[in-house]
Amino acid sequence: MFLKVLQLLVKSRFSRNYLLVIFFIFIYSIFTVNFGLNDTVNFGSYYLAFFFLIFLVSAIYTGGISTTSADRDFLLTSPIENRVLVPAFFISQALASSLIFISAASASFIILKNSEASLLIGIADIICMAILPISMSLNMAGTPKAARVGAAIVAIAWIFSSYAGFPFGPLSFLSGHLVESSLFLILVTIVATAVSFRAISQNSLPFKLSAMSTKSKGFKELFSFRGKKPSMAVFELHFKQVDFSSRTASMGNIRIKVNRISIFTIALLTTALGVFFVFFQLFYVKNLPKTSSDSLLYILFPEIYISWGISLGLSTGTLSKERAWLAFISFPVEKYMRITVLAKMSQSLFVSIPLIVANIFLAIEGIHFAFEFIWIFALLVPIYCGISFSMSFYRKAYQITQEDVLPSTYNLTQFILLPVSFVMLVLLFLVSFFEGSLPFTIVGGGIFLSLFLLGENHWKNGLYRMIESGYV
Amino acid sequence: MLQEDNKDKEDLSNALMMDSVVKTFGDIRAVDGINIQIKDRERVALLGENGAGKTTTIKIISGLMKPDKGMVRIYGHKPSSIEAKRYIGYLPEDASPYLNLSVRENLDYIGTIRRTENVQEKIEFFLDLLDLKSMEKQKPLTLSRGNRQKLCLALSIIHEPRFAIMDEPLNYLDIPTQEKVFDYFEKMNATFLISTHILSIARRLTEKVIILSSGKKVWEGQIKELEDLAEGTKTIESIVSELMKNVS
Repeated sequence: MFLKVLQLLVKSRFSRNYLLVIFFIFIYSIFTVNFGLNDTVNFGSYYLAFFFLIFLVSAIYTGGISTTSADRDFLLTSPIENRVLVPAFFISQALASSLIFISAASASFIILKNSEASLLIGIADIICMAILPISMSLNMAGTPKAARVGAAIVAIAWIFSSYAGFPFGPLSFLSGHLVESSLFLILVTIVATAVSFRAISQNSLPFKLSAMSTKSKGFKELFSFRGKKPSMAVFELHFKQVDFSSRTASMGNIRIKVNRISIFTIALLTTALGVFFVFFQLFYVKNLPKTSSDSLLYILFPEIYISWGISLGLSTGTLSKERAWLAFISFPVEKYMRITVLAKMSQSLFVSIPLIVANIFLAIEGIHFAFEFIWIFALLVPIYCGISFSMSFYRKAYQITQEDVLPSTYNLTQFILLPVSFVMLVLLFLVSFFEGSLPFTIVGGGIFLSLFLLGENHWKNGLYRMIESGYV
Repeated sequence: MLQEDNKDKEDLSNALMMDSVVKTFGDIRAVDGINIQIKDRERVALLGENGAGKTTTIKIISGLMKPDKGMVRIYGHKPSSIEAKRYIGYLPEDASPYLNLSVRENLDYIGTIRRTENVQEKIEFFLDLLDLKSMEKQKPLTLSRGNRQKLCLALSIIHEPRFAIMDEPLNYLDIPTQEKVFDYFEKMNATFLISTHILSIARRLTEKVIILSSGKKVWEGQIKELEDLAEGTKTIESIVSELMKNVS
């Protein structure tokens, strides 16, 4: 029976696309870690820490194991004992998310090779890092938000302690504390896994598995479109609000959450980031010895990832809640989408203003790379925000169904943005390293975006494609 | 056969003209040479078994899907044109509103982009009519399926369309709300095309029936004619069922 249930779960979750996604992440990790160049151990360690932090914190916060509606309706209502269901669900989830983590962390094997850590113990540590998030996600399912936030803070502190000389930090095995760090990590993983098995073996199994967020408060402040022209209403809606796609919660349980963040909140965050960046550069980085890896780590990489994050973050979830039967039955699709693209571009420029100002300040102070990033934030970020948004529409990437947020049941059209964003990442690296290439990149991106904006058929065909695929 | 070159000449006497429309999905002919004519202010029910092509037909009429062959005109305009969109109010089956807007914001946004006159008054009217007032600030995700359907219904007709195209409009609604909707539809001075499986709804809301089967139109006529066919010995449902099976 166990094997049958496991087979069913694995079959219902895995697709060929999953292997492609793993392959893409593997290539990305190799590409990124190799940019560490002379400082591979340090950079690779940060990289591993970053992925572990993302996986562990999102698992703790979202909680639960992914279940489909079919699981809930048929499998969990069937007379199957928990001792069969629990390991089957655990293994299917481990295959779903751990393989992704291992492929993301695979470049870290380069670090293990170059570091003092024994390769075998290092591999055991990485496997523990892959399993621990799943155990913790089960342990935290259904707990109050305060407990989940508290546990997430402890997890973050634990990961960062590796860089503060704490011998029991999860990554301290890379900096001379091989035995203490590894033993502690393995012990924590065993305890967390045992507790999670015990917890979900009880009668609360279905609840632990499907701790879906069903309670949701209403909106505190409502938008008003009173007296607005139709075009302005469309622009204002898509400028004022930032949506994040629910696929971001795919580490833990399926959650269909509606989050609407005001653009002014994001602008406050980028303002704080800009101020922090200026102080960090002037009071910390400027005093470091001038080596190439310092400038890469502390100046170039944060700038690249912030600019990349803005263009991608503001465009991915934008239309995930759009309803074709409402907007496009009311408005010509090409007109509606052009206005929306312009709104998203304006939005990305608006939140970039503090970073533009910060880079102007840093350029005056003679910080390397700052001058290029003034133009990157002012022009390249809005252009690429527009491009990724336009492409996502054509591939219906934004229309997510409940089952699509399961780890490993990827619909590749959802990942259309990854190649686009990967191109932007490569371009950002090129622009940073090859002086004089920025104008060409901006003009090239502008031409590409214009083709999208001016082509009427692009939008109409995108809509027809979406409807024919069943997304109304 | 109607000619393609008669383009965009407004024809207010005919709400819908469909001529030899074909739509295929791979090997499946979902719509197979359908001809439909609906006059202005006429109320028509679209009946058919599961997979008969009703939803595809409705999506083509509302401009959300492009036919492979044939011609469709809404009051003389192409369904995807802005002119046709001004006339149409469309409600799909299992419709979902904007999940990131509240109930009131949904009505405000769609009302505004549809250039609805006195939009705030209309919002208040529909909030009252459909008992949504107490949940106007709520996210649609927190509403019951029935309340979400009420919101979608209001969104589809807030601009008082001249041509209402609806796929199972009364799904999920409780009986008192159904009665209110029946009353409101009766007062609307509009053309109706309603796809439904429930004959009692068709009988109350429409006077004419079109029956589809395997993508083809198999029967068209007044509801009265269906009742005559039943001749008091059979139910109207059994007559419709027989008609659906008679596909040439």
